[in-house]
Amino acid sequence: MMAEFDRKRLEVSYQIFNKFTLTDQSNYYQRAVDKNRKAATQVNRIRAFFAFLTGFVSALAGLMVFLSPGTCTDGTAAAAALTPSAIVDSTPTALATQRSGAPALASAPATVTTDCSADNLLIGVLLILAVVAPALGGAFGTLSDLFQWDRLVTIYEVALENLEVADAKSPLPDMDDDYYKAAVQAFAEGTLSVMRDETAQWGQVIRTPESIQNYIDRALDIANDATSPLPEVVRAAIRSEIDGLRTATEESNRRLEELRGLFAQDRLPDGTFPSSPPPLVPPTPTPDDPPVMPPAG
Amino acid sequence: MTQATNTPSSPSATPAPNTQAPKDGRERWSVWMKELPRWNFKPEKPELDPPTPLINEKDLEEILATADAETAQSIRADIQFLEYEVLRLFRKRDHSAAKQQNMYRFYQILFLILAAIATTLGSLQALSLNANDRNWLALFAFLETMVALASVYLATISGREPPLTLWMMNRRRAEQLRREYFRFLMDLEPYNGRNKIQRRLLLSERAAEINRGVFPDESGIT
Repeated sequence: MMAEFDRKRLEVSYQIFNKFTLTDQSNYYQRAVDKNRKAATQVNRIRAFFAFLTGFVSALAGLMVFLSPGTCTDGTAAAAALTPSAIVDSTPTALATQRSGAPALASAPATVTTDCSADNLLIGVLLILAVVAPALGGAFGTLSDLFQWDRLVTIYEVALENLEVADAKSPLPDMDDDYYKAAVQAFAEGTLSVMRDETAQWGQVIRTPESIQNYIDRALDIANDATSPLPEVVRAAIRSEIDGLRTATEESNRRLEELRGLFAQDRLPDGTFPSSPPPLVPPTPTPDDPPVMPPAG
Repeated sequence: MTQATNTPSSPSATPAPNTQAPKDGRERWSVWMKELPRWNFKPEKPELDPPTPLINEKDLEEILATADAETAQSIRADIQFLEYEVLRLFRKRDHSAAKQQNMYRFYQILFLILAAIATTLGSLQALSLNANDRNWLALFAFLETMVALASVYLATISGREPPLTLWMMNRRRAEQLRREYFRFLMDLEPYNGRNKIQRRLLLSERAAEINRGVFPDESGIT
């Protein structure tokens, strides 16, 4: 026994789908566009601020060193504030220097010490800002790569436009039953198709930022170097852990590529996936490669 | 893509979608900060989450009030059946996807912080080459090694069950379950032309397949 929806059921189903799928999805896309665009703008401003701050404090520190009259009373140059020892060791004693070329001031060390300390302290602060600001700016850049706000705006805008196309196929009350049924199906299939395509594109966008992966690789190398003086047993254990991590990450990447293929449904005719982008981890060392960690001693 | 972490109160005049996410106390934060991961993801289990239907019951009743009794009853019966066969699985997948998304972003932000610290330490290390006291060089090198070791530790614990893979896997299944929900309700292919029992059996089978990662054709979609 075949069962088809009658006209009444189709009309109510259309209303339900229109309200709870098309309209709801459209609202979601619109809000996602607004939210992602605003987030991208805010983070972009923060990045621009840190870039400006880096240049500004560097230039200001350079100007202060240039305007500095020469050496302080302890014989060090005013520019010595540019060394980390001066930055970190900015205690009153360490900073108790005096401008040269003012022998008359030697009898009044308190006043002179205060002036020179302030200069060196300010240069030290500027230098720290010049080091920290680009690191923070870079961190916000990576954050932007992680969340992909700009690309998501594009994806959701396209989805919104495509939903309009699906909406254009909505049935009209004056249509006869067959026509009405075909219109309802075209309208619903079109909407579901937009949702599926948006999901596939979204799945393609999400990936680990390259800068974070590069950092992890560098950290692995540093950790390898740092553990070289350890006993053989400990080194073997760490080597095993790192190899396990590499293997797990490669397996993860393999599964991820499979998932990406499934999201996009872009299998080749022979059932395989298209060639993948470069792996996110360094290749597993072969027997010909130098050992990961040199022997102790 | 409806993500469970979507907050209902975005800075837009557009009506809020029928989201799965509860209010999270970040309404007054900057938009980009609302996206940051949570230290404690709640609820821990999907059963603890208040069951949000894909179709708001009150709005549904407004629509059904205009329909005849038989049609309304038929639609209610379908929705009730979907509640167990599809929504139960959808909620689990949606919750898992949101949880893994939070965890993935949490790890990535920790890496990001460690990378920023390492960059700063590296810059200070380079500057310390000019210092008279070489101890600074050694200190910064030591601190940078500690940051690198912390990164390796983090990479190891995040690599066992990679959250990105799990996030995408669960999200894909949740989204397809959601589409299947409306496909059944609208009597689209492959449900059209079947009697009530056949439709329901087919839905149960397809929902279970989607839930275990075998994706049946969405044959009506071109």
